[in-house]
Amino acid sequence: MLSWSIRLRATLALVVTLAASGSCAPAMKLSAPVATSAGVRFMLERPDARSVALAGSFNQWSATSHLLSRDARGVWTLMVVLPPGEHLFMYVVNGSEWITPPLAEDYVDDGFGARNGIVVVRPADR
Amino acid sequence: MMGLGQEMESWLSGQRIARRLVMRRRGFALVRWLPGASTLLMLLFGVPAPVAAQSVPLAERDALVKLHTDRGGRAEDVDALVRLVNEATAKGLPATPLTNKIREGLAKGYDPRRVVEPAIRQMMARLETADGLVRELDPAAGGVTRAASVTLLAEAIGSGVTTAEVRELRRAASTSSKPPLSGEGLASAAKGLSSIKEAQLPVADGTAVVAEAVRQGFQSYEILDLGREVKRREADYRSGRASLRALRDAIARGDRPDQLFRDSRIPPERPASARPEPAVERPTRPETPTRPEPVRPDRPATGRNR
Repeated sequence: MLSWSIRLRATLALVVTLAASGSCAPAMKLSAPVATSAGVRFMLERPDARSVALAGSFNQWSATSHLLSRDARGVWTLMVVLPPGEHLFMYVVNGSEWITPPLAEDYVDDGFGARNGIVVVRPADR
Repeated sequence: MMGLGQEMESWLSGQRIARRLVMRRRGFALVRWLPGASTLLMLLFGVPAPVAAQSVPLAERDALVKLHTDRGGRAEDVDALVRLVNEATAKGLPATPLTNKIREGLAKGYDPRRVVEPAIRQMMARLETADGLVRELDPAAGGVTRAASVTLLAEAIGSGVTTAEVRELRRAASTSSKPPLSGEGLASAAKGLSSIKEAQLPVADGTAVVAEAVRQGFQSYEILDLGREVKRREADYRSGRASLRALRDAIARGDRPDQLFRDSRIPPERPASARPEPAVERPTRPETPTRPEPVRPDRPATGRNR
C-alpha cells in the first residue's frame, strides 16, 4: 500500500511540475526569423503582452495589419510570405510599444535612435 | 521629348493639386482657372508651374498626413517633410526611400520636426553623395536600376563606407577581361564592404575580399551575405581564428558562397525541424525482426513488498 501511495504522489508531483512549466505544450524553440519555402516565421516571447504585431518595410510599417498569435507559453508567432530581398522589421507590443527584435539575422540603425531587425529572403528560399 | 513628357506629367499633377485646393476652399471659380494657368505658364515659358514640382503622389501625401493626424499631429508638419522629398526629386534623387523613411518615422510616433526631419535631411545627403558616385562611375545607368543603385549605395555610405573606398573597391574589382562594374554591382559590393567595416576589420582586407567575390561572379545577394557572414564571425576574425586573407584566397580558388561558411547560414537558435532537408530517396525499411523474450535473472527482494 505504501508503495502505491509513493507512486501516486510522484505522479502528481510530475503532473504539477509539467503543468507549471508549460511543458505539456509542444515546445517551439525561439529563433531569429528564417526564410523557408513556406514563408518566414517570426517569433517573440512576451507572455505579458495583450497583442503583438509585426511592422516592417514590407507592410509600410503598419502596426495593425500583421498580428501574431500567442501560444500557451506566451510565445507569439506569425508566418509571412515575403519576396526575396532584405526586409526591415520591428515588433509592436500592445499597439504602441515598438521593440527591436531580440533575435534577427542582422540589425541596422533606423535613423531615429532605435534599431531595426533585418530578415533576408534569398532567391533560393522561395 | 522626354522633357515634354515630364512637363505633361507635372501638369497633370498640377491639375490634381488644383482640384484639391478647390475642394478645400469651396471656391468653385478656381476650378476654371488654376489648371488652365498651369497650362498657360507651360505654353508661354516652356516651364512647369511651381506646383508642378510636386513629386510625391497626392494619395501618398494624404496617407502620410492621415498617419500623423490620427495621432493628433498637424498636417503642416507632414507637408514640410513632403516638401523636402520634392526638393530631393528635383535634384534627381529617388523619392521612394525618403517617403518610406517618413512613413516609418511617423508610424513609430516620432516627432516630425525634431526627429523625422533631421533623419530625412541626413538621408538626402547620403543619397546625393551616392547619386554623384553613380553618375561618376556608371554614367550609363538609368531608370529603376539607377534609383536602386543609388539607394543601396546610400545605405552603404550610411553604414560608414567612404567615397574613396567605393572608388578603390571599383578599381580593385575591375579586370581587364570584363566590363567595368555597373552601378548596381558597385552598390552591392559597397554594402558588403560596409558590413565588414561595421565589424571593425581592416578595410583594405575587406576590400580585397569583396573585390575578389565580384571578380568571381558572385551575385549581389551573395556579396551581401558574404559581408554579413564576416560580420557575424567578427570575433573569429578579430582574434585571428579566421582570416580575411584566407577567405579571399578561398574565393579566388573558386569556392562558392555556400562553401565558404558551411555551418553558419542557419542560426544556432533555429529549431532542427525548420532546417531544409535535401530530397533523398529512402530505402524501404525492412520489417522488424521478432526478438526472443529476454531471460531475466531472479532479482533479490526489494522494499516494495515489505
